[in-house]
Amino acid sequence: MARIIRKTRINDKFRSFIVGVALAVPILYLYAYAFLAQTNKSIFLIGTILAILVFFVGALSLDLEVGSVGLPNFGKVGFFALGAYISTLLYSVYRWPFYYIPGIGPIAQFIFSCLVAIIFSALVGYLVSVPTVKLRADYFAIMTIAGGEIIRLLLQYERRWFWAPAPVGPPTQVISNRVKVEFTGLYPFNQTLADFFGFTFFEDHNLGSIFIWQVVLIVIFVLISILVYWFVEQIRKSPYGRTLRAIREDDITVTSVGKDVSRFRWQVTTLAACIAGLAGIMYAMTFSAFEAGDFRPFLTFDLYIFIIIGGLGNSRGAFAGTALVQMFLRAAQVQEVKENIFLYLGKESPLIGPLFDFLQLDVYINPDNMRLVILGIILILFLLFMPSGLIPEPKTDNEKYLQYLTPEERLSSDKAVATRQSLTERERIDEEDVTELNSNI
Amino acid sequence: MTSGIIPIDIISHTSLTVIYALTLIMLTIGLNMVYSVLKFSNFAHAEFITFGMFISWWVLQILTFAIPWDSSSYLINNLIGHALFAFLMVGLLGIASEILVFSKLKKLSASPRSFTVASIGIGLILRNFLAMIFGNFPKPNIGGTSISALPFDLEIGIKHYFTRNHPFFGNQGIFITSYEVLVIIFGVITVILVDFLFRKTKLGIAMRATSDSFELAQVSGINTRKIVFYTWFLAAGITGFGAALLRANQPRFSTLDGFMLLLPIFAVVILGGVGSFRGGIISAFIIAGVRTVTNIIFTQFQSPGGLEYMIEDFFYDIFGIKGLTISFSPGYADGVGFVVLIVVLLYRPQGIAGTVEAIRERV
Repeated sequence: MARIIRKTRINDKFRSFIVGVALAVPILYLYAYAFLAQTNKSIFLIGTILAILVFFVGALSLDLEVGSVGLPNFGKVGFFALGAYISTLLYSVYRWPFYYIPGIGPIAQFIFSCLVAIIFSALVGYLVSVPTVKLRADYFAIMTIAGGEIIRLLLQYERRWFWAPAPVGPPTQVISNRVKVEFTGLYPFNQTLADFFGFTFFEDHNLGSIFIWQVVLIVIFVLISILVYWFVEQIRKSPYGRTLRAIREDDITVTSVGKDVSRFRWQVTTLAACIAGLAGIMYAMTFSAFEAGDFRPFLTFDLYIFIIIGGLGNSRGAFAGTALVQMFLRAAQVQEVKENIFLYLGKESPLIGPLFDFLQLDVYINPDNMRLVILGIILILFLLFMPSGLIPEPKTDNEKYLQYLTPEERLSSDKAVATRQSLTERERIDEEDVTELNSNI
Repeated sequence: MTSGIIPIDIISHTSLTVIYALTLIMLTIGLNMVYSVLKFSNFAHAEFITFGMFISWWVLQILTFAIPWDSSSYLINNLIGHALFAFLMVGLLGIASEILVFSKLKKLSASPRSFTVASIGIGLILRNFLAMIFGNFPKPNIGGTSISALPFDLEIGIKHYFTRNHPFFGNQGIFITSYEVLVIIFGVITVILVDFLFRKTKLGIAMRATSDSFELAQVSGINTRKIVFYTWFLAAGITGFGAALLRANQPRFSTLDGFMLLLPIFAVVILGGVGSFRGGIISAFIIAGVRTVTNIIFTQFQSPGGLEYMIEDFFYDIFGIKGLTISFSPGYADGVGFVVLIVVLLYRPQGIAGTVEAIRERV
């Protein structure tokens, strides 16, 4: 299907529109099905929105590295873990230094712990990036995975400092975030919208009731996401971002015009670590109880899937990919979907029973695993047929900048571009020759 | 306790290290081949291991069902047969992944990052397919481990006591199951065979030429397309063979087992140097040794009177606060291997015996 679309060479925009609709319609249908099957519909909806926003910020952080500079960071989950652990432990366990001040104590403590978490993530990001950015891309990937795993092992086994003390017995590995519990118990936040404002829309339509703290949390998360989105977009638009894209495409040229490529790389890695720490804080707020085992490399791989499907080097693409995949994953996890979409192939099956009896197989085709199989297939199809994703990266309009040049400068710049282009053209032709030779054999 | 030292079974630990290292070698040869010939890190390799484990277990189930009259016969419980079946099937899986995904990506001249992400996708698909077919929970490894897979019986193991009740050495002995003997024998045989393949046979020389330079290999008349297929088959096949032996030695196994081995095997390949078979052997022994030594030392540190409590007492004397210390958990054993990897790469980025340039060109 996708190949036919590719061959007919229709407009790129139209093609991504068709693929987007073809992806979004079944996912929205599944989500609507799961949504209607819920007893408490508002909790489901709010959980999805919060998860989308958390992973959107994480995906932006990854996209800034992978999409803008071309550094394949596979250890993003380590910074997630750092943000989540430090903010939660400082607020819920250590409660130092502001917590017991009467009045503003808890709020000051919360802001302090978030700031410490972000600063510490940035520091670790800097320390990790300085030696690693000069490595080749695949070595960089392995090093960052190893770094993320080391962070996870530290959090998992350092029971004196990173485990939560239980009221009775030894410390437990599961950390629960007290922020949500303590703030949602306060007066205006623990009321439903119906009680406080008399806004009974959700109760009237049998959707469950929404508390004020949920609305406040969503508003805060949306504001954070918009802020991070705006910040990343500003970076992309600025001359700094153009330099980053140039490094991604051709770092030798950038070096030849006198830019320190390593410096750009570690700056972006540190910045992305900062944003990932922020996403980790949001993760801790959303899921409220977590342990070190949640921060395995799977989470990073998920973020990769989001940005590849959405489109690399593009913040709106990151949002599209995150929203679609998260809705799909969450809808397939619902109990009703699991019970209704289910296929058993085994000894008791009517027609093919003997065959499966001979093969000693009991196959349960369940949505819980099938959703990840489908996700993997979608990922590979995107890599093969639409490498630029649902929303391709916008092309930079060079003419806009070239018109400020004097004619002589313009002439020399054209010459330089032509030289470079002929070089790349020659490389491309060489590669084509090789592939043709390949296919002939 | 006065000394605070737990007696160490040095000989047992050594034999365990050798077994772990040989397992790592058998699992990393394939990864190293793919890495050096095709120039990308194949994360689906972890799922090749899982697939090998499950397929070798499955063929045992089928055989037990199909030949019900003699459930203890050598025909059924022949672990070598299961491992060879896994070799074939996982090799075919490697070829299928090349045909279906990687060759097409190559035609698009995609970046190595795309290849890696595609291999993540393949891993996701494989892992969940296996979970659907064989079940999500850890499988008890029945029927295959309880009965000897060797024609002769080594089930009791070899256990000799060299010293008794020594305050430091304790009771020294070796305890090896028959499966571990198999792992050692086949590990050594695989190493010798692969070394022979790479050095003496035409296929191995063609593979090395292809890994050095695609174009030059083509110029000298090597069918690189064929070589790539051979590479995939052999790489995935050896992995499956090792995975079958690994499976037989575990009490239970699940679909996540391969993924848990992903980082150790990458650490071995990168530490040894991409494309270097002999470097991989050295680094497998280094990683396994570091793991065992960390395990021993950290257990000692955690015991009463160990370093952990010494630090606590030291700070108690100064500040008067209890609990100012850090834990030395034996669980760090894998992490210390990664630390060794990172430190080595900082000073020798191409690995122990590698020839591939790890630093970006001229930047």
